[in-house]
Amino acid sequence: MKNIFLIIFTIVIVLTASGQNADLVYVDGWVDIRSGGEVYEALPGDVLRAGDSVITSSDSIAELEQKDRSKIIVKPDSIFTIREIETDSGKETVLATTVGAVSFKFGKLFGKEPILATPSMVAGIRGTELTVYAGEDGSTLIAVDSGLVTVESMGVSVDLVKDEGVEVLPGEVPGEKFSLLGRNLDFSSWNAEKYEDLIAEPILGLEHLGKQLGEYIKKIDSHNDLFNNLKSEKEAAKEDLQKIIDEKGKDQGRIFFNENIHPIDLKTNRLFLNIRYYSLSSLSFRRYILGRLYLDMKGRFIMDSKNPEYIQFLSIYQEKMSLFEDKVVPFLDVNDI
Amino acid sequence: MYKRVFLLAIIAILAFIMSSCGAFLGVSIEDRITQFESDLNGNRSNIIDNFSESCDDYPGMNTLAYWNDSGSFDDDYKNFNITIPSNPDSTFTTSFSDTSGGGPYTIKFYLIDEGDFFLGENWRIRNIWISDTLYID
Repeated sequence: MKNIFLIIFTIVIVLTASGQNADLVYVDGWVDIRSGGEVYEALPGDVLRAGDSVITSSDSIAELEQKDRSKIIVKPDSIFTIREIETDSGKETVLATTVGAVSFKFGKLFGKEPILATPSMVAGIRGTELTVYAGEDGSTLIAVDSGLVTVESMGVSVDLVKDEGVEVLPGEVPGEKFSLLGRNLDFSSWNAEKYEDLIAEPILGLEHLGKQLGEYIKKIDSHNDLFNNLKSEKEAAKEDLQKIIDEKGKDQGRIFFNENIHPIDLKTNRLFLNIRYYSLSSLSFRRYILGRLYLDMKGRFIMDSKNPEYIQFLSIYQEKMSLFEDKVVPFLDVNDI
Repeated sequence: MYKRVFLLAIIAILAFIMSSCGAFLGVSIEDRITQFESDLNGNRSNIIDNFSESCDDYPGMNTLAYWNDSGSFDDDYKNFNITIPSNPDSTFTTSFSDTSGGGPYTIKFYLIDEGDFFLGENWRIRNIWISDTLYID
């Protein structure tokens, strides 16, 4: 009996420790998967791996299932990505909704619960059923059906329980939480309203989106600073190593390297992967949120390209893109695009 | 008589198809580790091909900068030499050395077979632990 328990325990450990890939179990309409630089039609049976995105169109949905039986429903006009990040408490899975509506029903996870993310917030969850709406203006709306969700944005957290929701505007702290009872949330109209607000004041909207991009860049910078500090530490240790080799010989040098430089190498590896995580998140934000606004503005002002509002928009947009080029692009690769 | 000749011809054709399709020419565990070692020491542009796309770190490490500038496989270190045991299992622990001045380090590999009937075995690296630290997940 004890052995059976041990076997079951081991299986659960293996299942939860083997990454957070998701199987595509149902597709209705045309759904794409973006994997690396390739985009292909999604079919039931496909496996979504870390870094892959599911992209639904206006009349399609996709249902994903994880090994712990968690269900993820990607609703029409949505982009959903699974990512991985290293935190102080170890590796975390991030289920990112860049734009659109995604419903989650989490199973009884044995290991760590995933983090949910949109361009404007991150959320920690506990045994939860919820829907995340990520608007084309970068806003987020979270509606909780059961369990506990902690939503965090710009350093401020809000706890949500059953039948509660909260809206988070890009670059802002979470708004006041509200009761979902008696409210019928409709993503399409919410998103349309949000986008109309954005396009009515495009310069203000772009400033807010720029603030959000700035948050990603701050994270890249802070990880990059740590990375560079470790590299400097390593360079200094390499100078000491040379002295030790000269004075005490290669064997002592080897001991010094293994105790002082090798551990730095192991740390820089994880830091680099975190820099890549925030760089890839910034790329999604630029591609699907900022890029959409830019194209829309270009279309609206095609016959009036000297319009002062449009010229001001372009100037701010160029400023944000220069920042993106300077701070994010160095960590991207041709495979990401 | 004709029946027997026909049967032999079919078997010969099947054997030819199987061998030409790679059923006997797949990538074994030894082949994969040898290729990985060779890529570390040579042109690193296709080094990612040694890894399964199911690696959680795959998007992060799908850039040359990761391989050249971030840790134990830094391109400052040369002559990577991975000791490959004979008939290794899908998970095996061994050691590697390089010109860094330290080591040899223990390295553990976990590989998965992503081959199929037609292409034969095609082992790819899923995890690497270096000095008991999970290095690639």
